[in-house]
Amino acid sequence: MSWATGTSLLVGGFLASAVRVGTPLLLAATGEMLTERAGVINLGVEGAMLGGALASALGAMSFGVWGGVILGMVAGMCIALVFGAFVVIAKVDQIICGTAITLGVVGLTGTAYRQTFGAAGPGLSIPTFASLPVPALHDLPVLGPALFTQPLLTYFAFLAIPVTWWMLFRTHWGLSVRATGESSEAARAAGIRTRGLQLFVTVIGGGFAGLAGATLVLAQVGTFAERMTAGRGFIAIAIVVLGRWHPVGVLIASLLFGVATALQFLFQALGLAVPYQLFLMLPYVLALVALAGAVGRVRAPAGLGK
Amino acid sequence: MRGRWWEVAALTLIALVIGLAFLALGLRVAGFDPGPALAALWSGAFGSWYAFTSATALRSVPLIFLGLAFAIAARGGALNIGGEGQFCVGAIAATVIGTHVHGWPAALAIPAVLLGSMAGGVLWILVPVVLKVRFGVLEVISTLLLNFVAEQFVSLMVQGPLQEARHTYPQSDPLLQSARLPVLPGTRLHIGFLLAASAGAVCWWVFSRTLWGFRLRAVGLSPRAAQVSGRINVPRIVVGALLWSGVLAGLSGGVEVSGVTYALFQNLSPGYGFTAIAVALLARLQPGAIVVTGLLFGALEAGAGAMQRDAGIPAVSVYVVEAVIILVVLLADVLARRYWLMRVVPVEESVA
Amino acid sequence: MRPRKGRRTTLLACLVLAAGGAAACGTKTDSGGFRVALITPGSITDAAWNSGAYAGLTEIKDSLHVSVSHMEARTPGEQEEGLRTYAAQGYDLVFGHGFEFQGAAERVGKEYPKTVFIITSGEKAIGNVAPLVFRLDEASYLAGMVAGGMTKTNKIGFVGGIELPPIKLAYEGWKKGAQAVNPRVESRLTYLNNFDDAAAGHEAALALIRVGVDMFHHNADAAGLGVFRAAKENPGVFIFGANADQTPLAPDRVLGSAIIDLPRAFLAVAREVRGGRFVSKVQSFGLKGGVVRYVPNSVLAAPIPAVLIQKVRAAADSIEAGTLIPVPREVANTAQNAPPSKDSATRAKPR
Repeated sequence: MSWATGTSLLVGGFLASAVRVGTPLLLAATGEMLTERAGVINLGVEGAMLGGALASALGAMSFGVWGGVILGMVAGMCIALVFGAFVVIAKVDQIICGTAITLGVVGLTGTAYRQTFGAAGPGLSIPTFASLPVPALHDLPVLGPALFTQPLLTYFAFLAIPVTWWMLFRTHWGLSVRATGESSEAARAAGIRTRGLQLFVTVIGGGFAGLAGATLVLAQVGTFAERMTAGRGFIAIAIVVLGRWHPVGVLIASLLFGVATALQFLFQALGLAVPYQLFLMLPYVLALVALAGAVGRVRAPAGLGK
Repeated sequence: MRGRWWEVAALTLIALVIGLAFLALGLRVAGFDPGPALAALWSGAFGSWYAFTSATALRSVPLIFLGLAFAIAARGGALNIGGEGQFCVGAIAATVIGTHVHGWPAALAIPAVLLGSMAGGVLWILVPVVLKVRFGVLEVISTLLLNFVAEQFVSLMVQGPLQEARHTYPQSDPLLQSARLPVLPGTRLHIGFLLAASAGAVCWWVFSRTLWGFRLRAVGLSPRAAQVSGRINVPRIVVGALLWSGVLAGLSGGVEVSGVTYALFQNLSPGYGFTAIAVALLARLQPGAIVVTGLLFGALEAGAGAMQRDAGIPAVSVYVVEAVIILVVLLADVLARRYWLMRVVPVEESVA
Repeated sequence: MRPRKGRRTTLLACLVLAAGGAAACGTKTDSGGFRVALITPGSITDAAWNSGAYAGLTEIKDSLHVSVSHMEARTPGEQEEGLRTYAAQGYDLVFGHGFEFQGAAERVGKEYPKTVFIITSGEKAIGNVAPLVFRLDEASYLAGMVAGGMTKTNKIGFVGGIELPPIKLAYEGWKKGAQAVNPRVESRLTYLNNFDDAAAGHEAALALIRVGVDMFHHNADAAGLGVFRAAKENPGVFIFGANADQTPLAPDRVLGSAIIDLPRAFLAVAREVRGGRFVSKVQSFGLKGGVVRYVPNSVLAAPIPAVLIQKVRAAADSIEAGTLIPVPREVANTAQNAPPSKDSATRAKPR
């Protein structure tokens, strides 16, 4: 193997890793961005991801991968529906309610998992998505293996970006969502049924989070472990801010996180003589730097959290 | 909370009962016998003087400190989600000092350790403060991200510079005897509990009896109105609130190290910072109530341990109870406000 | 906000019992039978370290017909609380499943001399506190030998959860074993600082595969499942299981497993304690005695050259006989004040 092909493989593999790491974050952040655009901040996204992960594992074992995807999304939506009912209809504090939802789901999934699988766990018996090369494109050097030889859910995550952009900025519906996020009173005065809209968007956001959890299980590891989301839901919330509540920004921020995480695994694999903890910090430090530097002053939707 | 204290108490009690009912129902569905489980929950939390002091009250200490830390910032409208990170750095600072004060009497060593942990907390929150003031970065996000950094930082410390002299285990050397907090005889409860309760009292006094507390509240309720009034330097108040928040959060880490573990470990906190947000919000950011909700959550987690020991119920299930309690309180609060208290209390929030 | 006692009169009977306990004493309901408790630092669904210990507890319960109890305690504060409470309740034998229990057990042990505290991977035997040391490195050494002989790229990789002494020791054994049969072998090590994040394990393994690693070993519990996944996805990559026989996870990719038979060791200790034969000392379990074993995957044994199998067998015999010590224990004791090594490949100094 020549040096050139070796390097191209290494770079291609690195980019593929960045995309893989970024995909669940992208999905969860896209959902959270939609929710926040309607003025609702959902700290339960970590819970929705975890719930989605367990439901997708159970679904895939009974009904195959697609069953897993659907159950994962449904679980995410149900969790978001509970959250939405509390914050949109009952108007309770969003931050505390989201905290409670996440707390509750950690408890529920932990208990349910032990009851279903016992101490042995599912092993690697959960069916997973194979990667699906895109015809023609997957032969490209470097980019081919990185971007066009991914599981189906990855393509979906990336396709969701232009779709959300179009929905948010080019449709009447999107205008209503944004208006609600800026000022629900004004939106209501303009004849928008803000509550229904907020609830709907929150549930959609939960579906995305559930799908993000399902991606971890069905497109990456093929197993479930307690607390396996390991804070990714909170990272997704950071990504929304980093991406300035814009689909393209969210895409870039997710990939930034993906690149930074892939980089830290690569550094460790290369055996660089630096304490590994510094590498593990890297994604978060980079995000902070990005927030301070390139992003500048951001403005949240004015009605966020109210 | 707009209601009087007994209304708050009644509400929380109802929520507790509903939460436990949910737990009982869930356990029945999962095939456990709820009776012994709930009995174990109770005895683990309040069943004996020892259980109350050494499990419940002991666990409530970091929750109270971190709850107060969250409340100070939140009263000024700033969200410090980074209590966990400040806790970690406070613990690191306390360990550095507590392992180096050879020959110091306890009367000097303990204050040094606690002051050091406060400084650590401030140092860690200084980053979000600077990012906020200089670059306009939302403190919610920066404090959140710094939690993950702090977690790795602790790991780095216990594997590197602060690792015990033998370099075997990922833990620091034990704190010197003189740097450890006095313990109530016959229990594990340390003096940090008194500190936490006093911190609550001081916060109450500051919030309700001082000009700064009034201004903080004004800023929190409406920064623009506060600014327009011309009498309040809004950024200054917010920065001050965040720094004090860091002080308390850092102190919680110092108290945990010098009162409970006597050494730095990688897994010091099971997510205190996270639970404390719920504790503070459930208490409506009222310091006195934070002490009580901190104890309640301490009791639930202490009881969860007993439930697992004596009845074989996975301890994680108690998170469900905590979640249900929070949700029920939120809901009951809303309902009460809408249908009952509205008539009793004027629309403007009543001062606690 | 304590619930009022009138709420649940039915429970009162139990509560009074508990409340009646004097200071520092919980309930002591049935002091008659022998009772055993286990405290794990993580979830017993991790398919490795903690689930093995739980299997040990179950084994004790089934074989000795005694009552047992388990709790999970993730923080040092809760761990000490667990030790203390079990002792106060009159448990005869308490397992603290990890080095992190050592300090707390020494403190608690003084106050409860009637309870025996067994600290897995602990270090010092003091009175009624005794460690149980598993030399997994001996089995990992054998796994490393197979890896060193089988690797085509001369690069082997290890994915660790958190940098704990037993994990470092296993890594060291694995590396030494590989180098013993193949001096050109290069060893790479990645830590996740986490035992739950299987996706991170997967990603770490894929990064190692990209830099040329084709033989894997892990010690990351649930997160290690991701490493198996990565091996499954990449032709020509093989993996060695840890703690339990993990062949079923990927029967065509697992060459063998370095296992600790925790149930066997736990049961042996429980028998000693119950029979009154317990002597407080550092109990070390290695290949000798069969608690730690290297278990090859019998289906995949075919591609391993007979010469290599011979070498591994010979090494196993020497280790059992005590003539070959993969990672000397003395190194651990003389390594005092050694500056922490910076090089990632040699970071795990033998302890």
